[in-house]
Amino acid sequence: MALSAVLTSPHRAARTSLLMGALAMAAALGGAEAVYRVAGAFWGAVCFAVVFLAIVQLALLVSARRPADRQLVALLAVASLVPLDRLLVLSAPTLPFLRLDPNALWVLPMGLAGVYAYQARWLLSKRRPLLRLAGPGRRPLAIQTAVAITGLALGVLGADAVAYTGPHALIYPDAAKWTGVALFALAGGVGELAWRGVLQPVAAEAAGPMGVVACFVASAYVSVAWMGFSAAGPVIVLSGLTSVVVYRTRCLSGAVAGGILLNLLMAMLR
Amino acid sequence: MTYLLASVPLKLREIAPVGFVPMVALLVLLVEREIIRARPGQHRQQRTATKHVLSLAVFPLMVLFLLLAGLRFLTIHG
Repeated sequence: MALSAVLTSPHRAARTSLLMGALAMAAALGGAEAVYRVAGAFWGAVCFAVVFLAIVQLALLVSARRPADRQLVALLAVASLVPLDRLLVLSAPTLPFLRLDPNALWVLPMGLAGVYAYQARWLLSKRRPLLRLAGPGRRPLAIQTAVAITGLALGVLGADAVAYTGPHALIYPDAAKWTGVALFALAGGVGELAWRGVLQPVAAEAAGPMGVVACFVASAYVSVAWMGFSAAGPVIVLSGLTSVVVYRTRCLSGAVAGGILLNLLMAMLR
Repeated sequence: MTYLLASVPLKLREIAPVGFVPMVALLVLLVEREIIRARPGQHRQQRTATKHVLSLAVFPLMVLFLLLAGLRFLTIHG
């Protein structure tokens, strides 16, 4: 008697369906990105809004049909943060007051959403506080410090390596410029909080190391889409490191500090 | 990444059409939340899960809306 793959290996079938879902989402995001490049910010934002609403609807559908499947509902809910990030980046108002381009005003709603999701008990039952180290002794502290220092070094490297011919950041000693730089620096921490603190644990719980890889790819995509490929290079390198460190230590403090330092130094030293 | 040479006061003189896209998405989610809230006969666990998912989706869009409204208020009355 032939048995289906679902009956013989339900775990494998679940992994396959998660992989298919991730591929479908990647295709939808790729399509929306293509529309943005071809037709402009408005139609790009419309497409990202449609993808975002579609994922939310899917999460609602799963919660209605399979209320016991908390893990899948949580995964879909946090996966909606990816198109939401792109929607916010494209639609946040552009303020020349902040002096910095690309505009980082999207950080405020995205950061608050990240904090809200990070605090939400329904997404993950086991969650460590942001600033608590992985354990006693000097080793956990040394690991987090090393991640923060790596972010700092990548920021200096990025400021030096990325070609830039415009005016220096320190030309204008005004509050407006520092507000723009602070928002840009905050974007690094918000990214780490959203992708490593919220999406990665849920994805890892559902799909193991493959979830971590998918989360890294998602964070690299949003970085490139926002900053451009050359400026996002150091961010992607740090993302690769923080993905592994947060997965192994379940501690976010070094990743958030590293992300903030990287963006701060990249904005200030160039 | 570039620095803008000209600096203008913190004002939002006009909202670009793209700024209305998240507002429409927010409106859709708020209407949906009200429809689901009014629907009878849902299991408590299911209702809680629905509420959590919608809250996570509504919250950032609401913050963006308040940010836009605040900037416009500053521009008009500041």
